[in-house]
Amino acid sequence: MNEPTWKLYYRLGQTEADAVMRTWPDGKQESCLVTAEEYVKWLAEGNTPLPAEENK
Amino acid sequence: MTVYTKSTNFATKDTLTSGDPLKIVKGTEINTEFDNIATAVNSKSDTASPTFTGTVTIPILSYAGTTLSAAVTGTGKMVLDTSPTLVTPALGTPASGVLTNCTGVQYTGFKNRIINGAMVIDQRNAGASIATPNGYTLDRFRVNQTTTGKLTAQQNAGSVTPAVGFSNYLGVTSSSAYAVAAGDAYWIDQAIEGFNFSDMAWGTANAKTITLSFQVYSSLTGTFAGALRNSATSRSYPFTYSIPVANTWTAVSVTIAGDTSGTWIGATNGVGVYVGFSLGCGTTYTGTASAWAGSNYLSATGSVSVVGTNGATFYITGVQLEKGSTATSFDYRPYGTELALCQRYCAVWTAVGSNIPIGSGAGQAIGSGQALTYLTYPVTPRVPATGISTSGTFSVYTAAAGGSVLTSLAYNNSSNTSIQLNATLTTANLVQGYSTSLIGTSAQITATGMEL
Repeated sequence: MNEPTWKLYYRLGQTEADAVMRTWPDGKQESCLVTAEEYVKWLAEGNTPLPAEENK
Repeated sequence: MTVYTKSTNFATKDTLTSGDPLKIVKGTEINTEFDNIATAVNSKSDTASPTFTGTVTIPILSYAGTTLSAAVTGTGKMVLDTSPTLVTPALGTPASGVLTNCTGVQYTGFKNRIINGAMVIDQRNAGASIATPNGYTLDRFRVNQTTTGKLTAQQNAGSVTPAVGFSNYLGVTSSSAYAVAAGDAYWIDQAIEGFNFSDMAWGTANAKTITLSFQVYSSLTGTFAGALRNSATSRSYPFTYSIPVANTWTAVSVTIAGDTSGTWIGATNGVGVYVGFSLGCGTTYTGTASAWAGSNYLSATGSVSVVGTNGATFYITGVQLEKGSTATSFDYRPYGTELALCQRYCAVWTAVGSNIPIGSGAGQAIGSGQALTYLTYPVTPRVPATGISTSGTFSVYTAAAGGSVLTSLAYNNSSNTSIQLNATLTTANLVQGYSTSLIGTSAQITATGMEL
């Protein structure tokens, strides 16, 4: 599988997980706000990200 | 003008015998001669400040030691007006400084509104091939695909000799023989920022004419197409151009009268105009060439589809969009200037080698397993980044713990001067509050979300 994983995360000082990390099998990582066009499009295709870890 | 001619031959009277009545000089004869002389003299000009009427013919005219008949060249009427309009060469009225039709004039402004038109800057990929491009490839140029996998893109793809005067090009190669459906669209484009296009006054009665020029090379021949669009994609102007010979660079110039209708955003950091080159579009995105339309057209009816032929190539460079109806020579800018222009839309930090510092070095541990670190933009971004893309190995360095490898480096926030990143360590060995710096090994961080 060459599909990346998407996982929500809390940005520092935020009370909602409003950012998402995409990790590719080769180790490349992309992180962005959940408003990013590519993530919105991915969600619209019916996908669901991994949940964020507890906000510490 | 009258020439004096003697009426009476007085000398012959000397030969006549006395008593001959003709020997007498009559008063009327004298009057006649003086009248003739007066008439002739009065029709001649004075040598001082003469006034001529009618046509004056002067074989050779000298002025201040210069023979004007030798110094003057050309034909037509002499220019005597204080603000003459010179038609050929078309200089307009020199007093107003209109020199739009001149060649060889050193243009000092931001003539070419396209950034990276010579395809020199490739911050994201450093010349590597992009297998499934659907977004930005070379700086400022997007490759768009309805379905990814139909095209690959790369700086200098195919390694052909670039067009004369250029060292680089953007190369796109078709990965299959794909018949586009009505709603399909494949194209390259660049969005010019409103701040760099608002003087064209599009959407007003004063809309300026622009000229788009470029060098293009394809394995296919025929009529190709592209289009200009507004930010809302509610106005578009499909244009066509010909590539008559395969695998040969062809210089193309397209002049387009500005759109006097529709909504064009003006001087903002939004999209002033999309400049696109079709690689194959369906009927939904195809319209009549050389006319403005209230539609989202990306191509012109009947144009070549690059994605329709497996292995077909489409290479382009020297893209220039300028004000006016004439394509002038390509506006080469210094590399540093062109790079800075690109960095307004894409910032990249690279660590070539092992444990190379990245960013400002002013990070801080916020826990044993986390640190904040900062990247300062090389130039003020169009908008602050909303994300990052990373590759390679990252660590944070502290004097106490040395290098601590990261499991992730995540976007946290950004202003218009810097990006704040949250570094998560593999081993929680930091002391909260300690200063940290970010280091990388064969690593790259690309800020995202700044492009149009």
